[in-house]
Amino acid sequence: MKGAVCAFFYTMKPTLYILLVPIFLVSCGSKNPQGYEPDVLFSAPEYFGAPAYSNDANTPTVDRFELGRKLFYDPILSADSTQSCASCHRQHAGFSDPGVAISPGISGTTPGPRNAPALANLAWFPNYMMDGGITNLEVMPFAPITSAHEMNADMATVVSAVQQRADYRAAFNRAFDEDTVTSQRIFYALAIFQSGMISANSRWDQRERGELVFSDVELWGEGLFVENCASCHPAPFFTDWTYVNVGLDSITDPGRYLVSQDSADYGAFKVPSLRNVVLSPPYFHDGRAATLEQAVNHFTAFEGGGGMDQRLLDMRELDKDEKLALLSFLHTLTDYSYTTNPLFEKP
Amino acid sequence: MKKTILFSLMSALVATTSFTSCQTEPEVGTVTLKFDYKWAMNGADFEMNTPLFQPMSGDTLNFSTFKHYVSNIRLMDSDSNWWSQDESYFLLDVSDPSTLTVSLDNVPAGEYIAMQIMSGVDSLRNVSGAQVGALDVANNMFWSWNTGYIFIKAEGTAPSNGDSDFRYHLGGIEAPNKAFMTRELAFNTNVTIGAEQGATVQLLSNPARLFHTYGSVTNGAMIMMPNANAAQMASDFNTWIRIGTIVN
Repeated sequence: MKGAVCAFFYTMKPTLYILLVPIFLVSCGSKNPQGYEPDVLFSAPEYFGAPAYSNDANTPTVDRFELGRKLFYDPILSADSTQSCASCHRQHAGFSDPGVAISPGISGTTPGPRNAPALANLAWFPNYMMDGGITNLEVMPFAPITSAHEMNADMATVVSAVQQRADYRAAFNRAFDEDTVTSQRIFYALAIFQSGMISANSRWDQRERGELVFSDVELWGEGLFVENCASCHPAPFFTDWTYVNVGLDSITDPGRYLVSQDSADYGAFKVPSLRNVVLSPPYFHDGRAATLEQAVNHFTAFEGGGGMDQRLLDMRELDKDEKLALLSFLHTLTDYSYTTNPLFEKP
Repeated sequence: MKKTILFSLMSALVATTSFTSCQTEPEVGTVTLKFDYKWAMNGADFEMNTPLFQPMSGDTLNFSTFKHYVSNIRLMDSDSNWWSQDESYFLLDVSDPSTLTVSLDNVPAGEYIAMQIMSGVDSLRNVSGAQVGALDVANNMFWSWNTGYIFIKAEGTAPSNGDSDFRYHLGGIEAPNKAFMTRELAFNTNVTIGAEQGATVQLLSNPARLFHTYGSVTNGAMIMMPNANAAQMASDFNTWIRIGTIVN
């Protein structure tokens, strides 16, 4: 493990350290059996700003991060112990479920309505889920764990099952100075692991930090992106967190309406972050677009439909070369050091 | 004259010192809240797993679940000062009588004339992440998909409607569909608390009130999200809550 972490260090350019700032006050007494410093986990570029998630009662430590990682990869969180968070959120695909429109839940469940999203930089998100219904990172995993479409578990049963395991009692003792498992501690640990899942080393980030320059085609694509896409997908997270009706046909999912009860929000979904977008097909809320090209085509060559967001109606049609340039720019948002970082692998 | 002033000052100092040294922990006692449930207008007891006639809607309802939150309990003394209980959150489950008696410990000795309760859970705790105790999400009183607590969960069957199920999960913290309410309830007899003296206050609720405005379960046997009907049902239930018998 130590060697792997060192490898992670060496892949990062020295200038990265200067610009990375600890986002949390990491507790000094943090035990560190894994041999790396907590600020490796919880550092982000200044241009990310302050994270939305912070809880004085849930101090980020290596032990809570490692416990959260263990839980993230453990099917003990599902009713029949067959699926973990990682079953539908695979690191190599930016923690999405690549090529799967609707991820099947555990055996015996009916498929849900939505595509499993890519995960990164979750501590900066103001809310979670495509309808924004969940407003705190800590309780976000409660949804997939208990959903009848996904892991279909009862939270109290999960707590008991985790408590039965000696390895978990030891891990909870390290993380919380007590070996008693509670739902709160499970959620605290998962929140710290997810807070550490920071993707900030894409070509776009490296360019932002002055470590490289874009190619001509990437620059052309960036210009097209700024002109046509950035009003909904502004840097650095490439989303403005609004809910947008993108004019898809045959929408059966009420989207944001479920939460807002505002009929104007029917079929509107949160603008997704585009970080690692190339790695996370298929696209749209129900995964109906198999490729990024299809998704881009929808936005650049469609007929306007009812209820569609004005910003989309204002977009102009792009020709074939312009679309290729735009795709080149979208490739700069891929962070391979994130998708190969051993700190986020199955422990 | 000077001497007199000096003497007075010294006396005052001595008096203060001796008062301080004699000061002990303030006397405190316990107020026990006992939650009881009535049904409809004739003062009958609310019974679980029993067909009950709702005279306003004409329904007969058989409850299998009735749970609700009470929080932020405060007591007002005869000088109109409030005492607030710390970490004051209670999940009352009519199927589990042990949850229906709530102790307010360390209440300062004195005469109390009123109490305040929140029926539901305050907005802040709805959005503050993972909680423990009564607010543990493992109690299944928290919506996984739309952050917030289910303040009132009423489930059962309606024999008057072909024994079909009804499920009302009432919550919501956003205007105009807020489903929690703060009630100030005057005591009909002063509650007197001393070191050796506690008191028991009975609080009455009436689940039939859920249907006071909403009417029959045939108007919709399932509410699972914050909306105007949920807010109305919760409001009708919450406004009925009253003080019963006080025993000093």
